[in-house]
Amino acid sequence: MTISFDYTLLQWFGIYTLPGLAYVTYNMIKLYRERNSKFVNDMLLAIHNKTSTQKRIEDSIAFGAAAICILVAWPAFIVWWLMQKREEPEVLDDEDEDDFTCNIGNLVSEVTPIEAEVFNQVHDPLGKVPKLPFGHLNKAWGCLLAEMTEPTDQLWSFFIPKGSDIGTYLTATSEVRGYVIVRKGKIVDELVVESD
Amino acid sequence: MTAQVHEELLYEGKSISLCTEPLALYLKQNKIRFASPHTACWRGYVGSWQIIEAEGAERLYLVGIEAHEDYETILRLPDLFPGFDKVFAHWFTGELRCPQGELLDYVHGGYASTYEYDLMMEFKQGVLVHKYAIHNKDPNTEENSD
Repeated sequence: MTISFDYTLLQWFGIYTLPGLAYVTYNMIKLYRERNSKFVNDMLLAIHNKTSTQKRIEDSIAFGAAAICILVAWPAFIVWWLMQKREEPEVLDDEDEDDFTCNIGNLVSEVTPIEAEVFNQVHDPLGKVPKLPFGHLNKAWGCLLAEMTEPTDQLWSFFIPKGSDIGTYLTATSEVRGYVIVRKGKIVDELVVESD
Repeated sequence: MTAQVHEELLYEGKSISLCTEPLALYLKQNKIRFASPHTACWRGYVGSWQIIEAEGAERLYLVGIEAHEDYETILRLPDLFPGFDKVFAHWFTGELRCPQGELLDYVHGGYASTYEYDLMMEFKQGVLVHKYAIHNKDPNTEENSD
């Protein structure tokens, strides 16, 4: 009795697995390059107990199983990867996003430029302030108004109570008051008229 | 970051130092930046302030400044505020921290050093509304006592 083996089928299967093999190799190299430093490993060892042999075996089996799955079913992984890519939220470039003190939640009311100017007359008995709306900040106020270029632009007053979050990382160490230009629901420019 | 040069405040006939920079908002809103002359003055200027009483209220004024336009060129108050010998800091709402007494703990960064006590002055639109003192302990002694 002889066992016949279809080598042509094996060759085609080998060719079929090449993209999967490339993907597995790429990820192995990536994992190796992003491996923890000795310092991090020492820290992890200090925090947890030394990695057990059982854990290492489990990891090896998991890696092996994943590699076999990718080799065999790489087209499905490509489809999955494309779907994941599409669902990922667009990451805003910090350079493109202006960093304002005020956010939409701090807006108080929409005002006209005249109303803002009437509200921001500065009085000083010693006369050490220009007799202009917003006093020494009058030039900055002019710059803010110059940014109102779209017909639908709105001028809003804002107020941030002491202790509130400012942006992602900061906390207001004093009350903050000012004005912003809102365009299509987004803040596009800001003037802080009162803060520490 | 190196410990930073303090602003100066004249109050009740005394010259005291400040661990607050009341001019920062004005400069930021007017997009003014100065050159740093050395690592102990990253902001590039040192201001002199005075609290003056008028019409029953004590107000904060900038009375002098030395600001580095570049390493060699120094700007003074009339250069920055033409026509004004004093500038009412109406934009300042918040607290001035004035360190007082003995230096308990030197920290080589910003205004992080600890002094015997801090005189805190709270302002609303440049007008003094409240003041109080915080008595500090040497952080190193506190750590040792824990």
